[in-house]
Amino acid sequence: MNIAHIASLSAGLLALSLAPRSARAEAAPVAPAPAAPAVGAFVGVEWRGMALADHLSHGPGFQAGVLLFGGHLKLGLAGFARPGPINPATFDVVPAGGATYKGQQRVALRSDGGLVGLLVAPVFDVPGTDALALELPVIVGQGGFGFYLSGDDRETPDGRKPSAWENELLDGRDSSFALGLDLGVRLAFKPASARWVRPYVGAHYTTVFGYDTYVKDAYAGFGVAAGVQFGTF
Amino acid sequence: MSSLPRRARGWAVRRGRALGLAAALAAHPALAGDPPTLASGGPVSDPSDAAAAGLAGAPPNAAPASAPPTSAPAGTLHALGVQGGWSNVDAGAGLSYRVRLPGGTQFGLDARYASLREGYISGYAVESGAALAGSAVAMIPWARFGPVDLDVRLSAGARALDADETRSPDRSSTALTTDFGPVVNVHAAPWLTLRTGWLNVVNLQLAPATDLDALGQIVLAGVAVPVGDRLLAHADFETGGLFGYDGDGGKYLTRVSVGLRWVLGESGGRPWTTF
Repeated sequence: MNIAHIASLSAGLLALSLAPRSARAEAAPVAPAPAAPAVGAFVGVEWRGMALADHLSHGPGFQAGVLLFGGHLKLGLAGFARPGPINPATFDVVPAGGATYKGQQRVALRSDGGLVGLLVAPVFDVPGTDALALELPVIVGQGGFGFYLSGDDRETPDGRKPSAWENELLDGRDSSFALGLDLGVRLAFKPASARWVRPYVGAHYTTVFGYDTYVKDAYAGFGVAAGVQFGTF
Repeated sequence: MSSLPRRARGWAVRRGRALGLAAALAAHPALAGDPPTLASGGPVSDPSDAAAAGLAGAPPNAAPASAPPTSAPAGTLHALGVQGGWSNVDAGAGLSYRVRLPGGTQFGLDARYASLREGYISGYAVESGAALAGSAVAMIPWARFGPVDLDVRLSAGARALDADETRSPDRSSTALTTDFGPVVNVHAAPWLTLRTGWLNVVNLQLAPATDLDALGQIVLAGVAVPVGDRLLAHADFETGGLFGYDGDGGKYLTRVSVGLRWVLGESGGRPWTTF
């Protein structure tokens, strides 16, 4: 099954989830907790702490899609961002070929990037309790991370765009975009009185295959996530 | 705070209307559905959901048909809004118009003027300037469950930017702006709606040259509070990473905005707080 098949399947499931229902159930005098629908929907937002590329960073994450098999399988889109301006970590680099920038033999770069892709997440009930669910999310998509001049260094000495200087200083390898993979384990809380919301915490491992830049030859590592999802669980 | 009991009484009256409307809708095969529902309206999935959400008076074992619907369908409604916002790149104000159809689908127009601290023309930084943007917006119901409205937002528009200080050889630009994504509104209490979700942003500069202006995902968080029978106050927070102009564009957006929306006509049922 290739990406096109997966996309086609996801689109079909999404269309199915959007289709209105024509039948209605008889209202019972006392309503038992209804089972989750065969095809439902979910949306989640989160914040991630990451230890990618040998440094700590953080940023927002997101997910949305359809719930299948009574909420035991999630298919959709998901990802996270690692914005540069809110992450103070810098990377001191000696420019390629002994070049200098504004008279300096070293430049301090910031990093940014993210990963967006298809989400597949089996969801399991935790034995012995109705209050927890275990999720194993897998995101496969495009991962891209790079390094850039920041602050006053973005005012280049010759008026060219910063990216032109970044290309020269970093031998044309200031960023790298490639197939990205994010594997996670998440524990979600299922409030008995509000089945439509699930706060969760999780641990993730992220990597970008074939990543290669002048600054780093890998952008991978572990991270943690805390968020909340809403859906027809 | 002194007006809270009056608002609560007003909610109780509206809730009574909603219950009657819900009972009528429950008998309508085209609108009723198994709880939770996907884009078809219908009853709260579980009475305990209503109780947990603070929906006044929902007994723990009440039948679903007696609970207020997640979104009380009503006739076509209109709303006008005014907003102000501050971000890491600008400060601005805007006007908005929305029409909500009986099924919950919304269409609208947004206009915003902003004074820029940061902007980009073909990848050249703009240190000061102004931007005028307009867009058409649609909110398509996706699913209704518990006190939650899940909609898909679609927006497309245009932005004109005029620079005062820039290194760009061009002083102005125009761009096509789009965003789309899921938006969740949780009716946590009669007086409180919480909002979250995320939007995919894709902006394309059209002039002076075609280029990718911004690409990214923005996470949303917000709150809406009715301050009268037809007036709604809201505050929203947006944050996320951006990429554009091959790395020479904006890299991050954090925006706080506040505003008021005035619903024209009788809202009926739950106050219209989903935008």
